[in-house]
Amino acid sequence: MNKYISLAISFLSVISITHAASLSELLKQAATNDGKTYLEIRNEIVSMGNNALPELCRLATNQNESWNVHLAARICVERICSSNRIAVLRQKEWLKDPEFDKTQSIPINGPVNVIVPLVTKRFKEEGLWYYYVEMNWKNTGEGSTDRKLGNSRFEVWPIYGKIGLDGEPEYFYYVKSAIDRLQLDPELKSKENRRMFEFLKNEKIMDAMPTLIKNSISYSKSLNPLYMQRDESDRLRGNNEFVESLLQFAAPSDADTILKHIDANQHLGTLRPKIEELKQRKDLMPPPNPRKKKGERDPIPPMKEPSFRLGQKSIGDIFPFAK
Amino acid sequence: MRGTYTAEWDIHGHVYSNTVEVLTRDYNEVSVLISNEVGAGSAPFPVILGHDDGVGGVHTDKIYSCYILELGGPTVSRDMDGGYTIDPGTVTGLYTVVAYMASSNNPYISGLCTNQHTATFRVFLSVDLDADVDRNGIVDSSDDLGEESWTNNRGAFAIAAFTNYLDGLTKLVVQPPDVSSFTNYTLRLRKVDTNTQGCLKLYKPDGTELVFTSGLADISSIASTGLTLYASSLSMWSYDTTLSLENAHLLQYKMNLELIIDGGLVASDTVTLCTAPFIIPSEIAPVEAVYVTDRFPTNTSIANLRCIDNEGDVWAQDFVKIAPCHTSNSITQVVIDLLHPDKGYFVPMVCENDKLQFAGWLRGGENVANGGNLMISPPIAGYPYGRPIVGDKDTSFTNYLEMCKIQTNAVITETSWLMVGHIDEVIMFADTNKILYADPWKAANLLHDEIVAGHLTNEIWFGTEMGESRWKTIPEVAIAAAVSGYKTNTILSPGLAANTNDATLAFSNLVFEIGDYLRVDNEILKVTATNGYNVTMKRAQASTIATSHANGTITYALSENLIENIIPGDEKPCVAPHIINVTNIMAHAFPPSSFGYISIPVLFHYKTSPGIGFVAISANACNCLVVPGDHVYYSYTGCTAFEQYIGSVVSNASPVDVWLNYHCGFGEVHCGSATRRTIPTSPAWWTY
Repeated sequence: MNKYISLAISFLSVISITHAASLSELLKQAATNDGKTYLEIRNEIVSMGNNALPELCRLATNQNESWNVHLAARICVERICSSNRIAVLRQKEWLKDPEFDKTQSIPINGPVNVIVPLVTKRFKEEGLWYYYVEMNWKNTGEGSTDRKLGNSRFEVWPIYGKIGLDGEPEYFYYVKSAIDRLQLDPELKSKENRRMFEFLKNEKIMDAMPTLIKNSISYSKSLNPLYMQRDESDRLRGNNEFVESLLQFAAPSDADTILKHIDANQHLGTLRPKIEELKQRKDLMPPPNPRKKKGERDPIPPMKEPSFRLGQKSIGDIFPFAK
Repeated sequence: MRGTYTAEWDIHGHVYSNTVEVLTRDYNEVSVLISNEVGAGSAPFPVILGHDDGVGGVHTDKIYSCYILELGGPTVSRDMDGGYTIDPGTVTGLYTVVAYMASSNNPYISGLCTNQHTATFRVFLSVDLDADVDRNGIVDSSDDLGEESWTNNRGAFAIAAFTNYLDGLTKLVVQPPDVSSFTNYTLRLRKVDTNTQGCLKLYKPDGTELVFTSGLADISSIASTGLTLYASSLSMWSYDTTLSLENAHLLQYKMNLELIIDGGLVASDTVTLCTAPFIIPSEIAPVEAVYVTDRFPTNTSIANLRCIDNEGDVWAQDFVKIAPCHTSNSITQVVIDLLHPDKGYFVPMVCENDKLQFAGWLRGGENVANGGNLMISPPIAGYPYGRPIVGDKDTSFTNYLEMCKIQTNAVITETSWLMVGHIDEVIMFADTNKILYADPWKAANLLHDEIVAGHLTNEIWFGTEMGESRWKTIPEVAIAAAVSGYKTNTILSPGLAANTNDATLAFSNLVFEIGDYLRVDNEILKVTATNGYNVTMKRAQASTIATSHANGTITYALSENLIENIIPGDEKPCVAPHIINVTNIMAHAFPPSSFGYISIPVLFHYKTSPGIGFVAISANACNCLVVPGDHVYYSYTGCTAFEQYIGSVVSNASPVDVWLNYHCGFGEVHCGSATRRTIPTSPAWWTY
């Protein structure tokens, strides 16, 4: 019997709506908190167990709720149903995986780079999409416990999560999470957030354009640390070119936002004609770039929120009440 | 021993005697009244304390100490022959002379008193536990003084080590007690406090551990020659984590030797030991041996190279630090296990190889498996054991160093921009006054010289992937690729003047594009517009200076790699600002007036998945192994220009091919080696 179906049968008789009001509120709190506070709220929800699933599933797709409530609900559903599998993945000893090539050399920062193909395969197989998003969204510290991965595991575990999401519908939530984090850190003080910023930029996420534009000044400043510059204004060196590179995957609907940013930053004035071009463009997608470099990605168009699934199964196929 | 004895002494011909009774409960006190001495003045009167062997001999060699019990009494000093001189000075009154003796058989006192004194002579049943308290390398009776406490001037040491090797461990000698009169006695060792019980281990001469139960170990059956034990410490600090590091101090241990007769404690002797801390040697300290895994090239001339088949990773530098412990007049090398998750058998095999002690890095958590991120400078003013340098990606080493209070005030440099993040990726001491630093600008300049000289088929090893060819031509590395060939050209007439105004030049083809960075002589220009063959450029980019450039000067567009190395403030992270920051921080701590800063050509590459940060994409010759008096072993770069340059600025530079062994794993020669070096023994750390 399918593990989810057996789980569903086990609690069909005890479906309760007593948590309904508080669950919605708790999910909102989870969605807007981080770190330890987030974990406390999430664990409180998860501790409700199977009884909370019907309402969580409803909230996970309720059109009256925002994406972050959907995501928080899905994270909790996945964790109620798959906490053991998450624990197993966290505790997995990667170098003992039968497909790990024991003959290969291990770099000085540990095997985190050489196991990427293996990680990709296993993360896809496990399909713990919402755990992968969560580790990038909230500072949960719930990473790998495999010391053999070396000290870099703390840094790369969320990146593994992102790799697991590549090409999956739930990548939508990764992007949303990254944007959410960047909005909370406009100065890009966190190295992790700078990494997310670079991902959004390098992967040309069109949905992220307003945030990329908003944080572009901070990013250029991070590339021009003060100790290198004569004064603060020098730290904006290259910002013009950077914003110009963002325009390559901007949508016409972003034009006003970008123009507003240009108006607020004199040094970007030379880009104004390009905004006019952007406004005039009829296609959502930018034209092909004739100077596209090797390995450079095509822009990723605006994404739609995915339907709810656990692993490869639709939530409706797992839980009858979620149809 | 229990019983009644007569003590006699002679003062100016008057023979005094006293009948004393030796008790076995609590301490045994022998009281001797000295009175009505003849004479005057305040000259010292010699007093001989000893015991009468009953056949006419008086022995003073078993008097361990003698002092006046009351404060403000006459002073006591020891004579060369073992007797004691009491100098009454102007002091008068009743004082108690206390002497510790190995035996109470027929206590003996004689002397010449010049004033009227009354003294009490206490004789103890005594036991004797000795360690090298006077720090002369020998355990003998001269170690008794002050043995119960530890000061900077006096006191024994215990090194921190988990081992059965006895060499280098602290000797504790239990002298055989004179208990011939007793049959019902117990001699035992007590670990006095919880630190001692928890962290001090004692080994017997056969290497087995002396087992303590509830802090006690019975040693009643010791030989008549005594018992030598060997002490090691499992920890180093007494550190209350709720307090600042300033409050941490090296652990001290108290051992008691106790004599129990009829169930009562009748004598004891205390020795205090202080943990001797590890002292990490400087990168240029004299080398005793170099430890590598069996993946290290064997065709080097490195003396005392120990190749170890550890069945693990190859990063010896991250597996261990080999650090001397300076105790008394000796140095004991300790292999510190940095708790690397894949060190294999490296640590035990290094210890076994040369019978070295080993210990774990006891504080700092699991992040200490980054030995390459801790470097010690040569001794400099204020830092006789060298000053530590640590990269900011992981500063957990500094906690330990601060607690030891010997190699403190670490220079923390910026390494978080590197994917691995170790300080030895960018800095290395090559001599007492030379600091090597990785410099992408030096690499760019050397490559530029090759391009200008027309050496376009010369090669350089370039890349990080084991499966890819390492041999690249210089244009492949340094010049941006064009649709066909490379983006190169020459400046046409009239050339460029030395000013910072935007310049528009006509070229003979359409090779350059907007966004290209052009190198012309030593100036970098940025292409901002093109109109047919006309190219408009911003001058003096990347902190270069606008100079004049003659007709016919070669120019080319920088490769993406050179851009990420030397052009800051573009769309991507850049190496150069970080190198400047690192050298600025270093120069503040190690001023250029005292240290020559030598640039070593290294190119880096920014990786984003999954590890993030820069790694060396050319061989990082800065990550080298310095063996004073021999060679500086560095990673071969595969580039003639680099090799010639390195040979010209680094004395006795010796290249080693570690491309596949180490470079493709983001490390180099230094990362692959752990070195056993000596440290200066002066000033001694306990006086510093």
